[in-house]
Amino acid sequence: MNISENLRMLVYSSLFAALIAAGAFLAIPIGPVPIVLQNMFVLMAPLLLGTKWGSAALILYLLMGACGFPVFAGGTGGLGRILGPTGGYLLGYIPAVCITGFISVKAGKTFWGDVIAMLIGSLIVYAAGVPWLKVATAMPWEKAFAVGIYPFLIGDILKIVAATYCVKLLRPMLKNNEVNVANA
Amino acid sequence: MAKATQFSYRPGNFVLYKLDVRCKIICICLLSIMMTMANFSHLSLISAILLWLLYRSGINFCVLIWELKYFFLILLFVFTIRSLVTPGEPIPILKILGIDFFEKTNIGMVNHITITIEGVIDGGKVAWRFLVIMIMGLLFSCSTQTSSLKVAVAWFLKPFPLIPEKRVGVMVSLFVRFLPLILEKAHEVSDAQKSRCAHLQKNPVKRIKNITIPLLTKVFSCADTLAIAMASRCYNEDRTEQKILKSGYEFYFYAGTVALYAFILFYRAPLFLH
Repeated sequence: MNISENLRMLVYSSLFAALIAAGAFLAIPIGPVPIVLQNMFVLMAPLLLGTKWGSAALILYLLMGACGFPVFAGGTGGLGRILGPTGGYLLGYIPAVCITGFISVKAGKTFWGDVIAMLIGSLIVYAAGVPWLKVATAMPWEKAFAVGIYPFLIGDILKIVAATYCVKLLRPMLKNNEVNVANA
Repeated sequence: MAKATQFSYRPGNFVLYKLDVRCKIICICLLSIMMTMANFSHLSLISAILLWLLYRSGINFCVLIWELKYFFLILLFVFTIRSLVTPGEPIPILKILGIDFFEKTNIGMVNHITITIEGVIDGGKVAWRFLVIMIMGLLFSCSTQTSSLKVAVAWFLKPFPLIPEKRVGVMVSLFVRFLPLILEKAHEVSDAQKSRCAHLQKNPVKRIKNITIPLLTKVFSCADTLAIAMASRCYNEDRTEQKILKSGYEFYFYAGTVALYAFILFYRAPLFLH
């Protein structure tokens, strides 16, 4: 059966949007702050699906959240979360996904290229999230950094390392699936 | 999944359930924006209306509070930060009791911080605003079917030239289809890993990998099956759309929203309610 690439990517993109949403509920209890897989899936989306479909997945996720679906961290949703104190992180995901995908492609989808792309993507999320948090809670810069970045740094590094391995393993699998599905 | 979607759609007869989805989205957006200007008197009125709507929608308040427990933590955080960093008059009772707060800055100096009256008022107002917006979102998700949401999303995206609104509509329904599936598979993977004592693994990267790789392999395989099923049913974007049904009460909701807007803009309460 001839399955168009568009249809396959459309399904994958919706799947990744759902994965990002489900990532808010999937926490691995390591240390005092459990590792939530959401931002790992956000950064993996452009690496596995490409910039265009990765961004589509993320925009769909935000759209569903804005429409009131309980997809944001803590099982909540609504425009209030996007306009709320942690909204900067959510909106920061959009440029982060685009730039992560772009860098990964430019670096030839290599292991280190992916690591650098995800590191820069994470920095962009913080660059959008922390000033927003500062404005929404009216706290000084050093406090905004203390509550908005420092507790998550180690978790983020672990997630980037794990995500790079996962992407390395999953890329060939998706390529195989493409062939299998096309021949189905 | 039941845990994650406690506030997913449930059938009901109340007017909110029958209301045009577009009307609900427009009203929520307008009310969310006007929340930035609301003071305590406005918030009291809007909260009273929302509580009445929650009651009439048949939502259990205890379940509501339990489900929002993490959100309350965020609100508590916002409230605490605002109370501590807003400049103003310190709360007299804390001074009398000799309660003082200290913090260490990153350069090793000790700063003196106090909870101020202005901070507590400001923190309370901001936390209340977020809570009101959150409850509006919950009311929306409880009273809206996914199929109508899909049509409404496509309707809103129609005027934008570069966005394929029908495709987005399909993606919305696929998203809703996949979310419970992923949570179910994640539960399966987690149980399978536990039975292999993977939770005793000390290396965090390995623990993340042990969950992520099987989960993604499973869900991608499901996605492939779905893509084949869609293609075998001759899927294309030229489909007959579901019609958006109107209840006839939309005008009252728009009028109510405009009235609330006017109330927030023009009514200024006594000073202590600001």
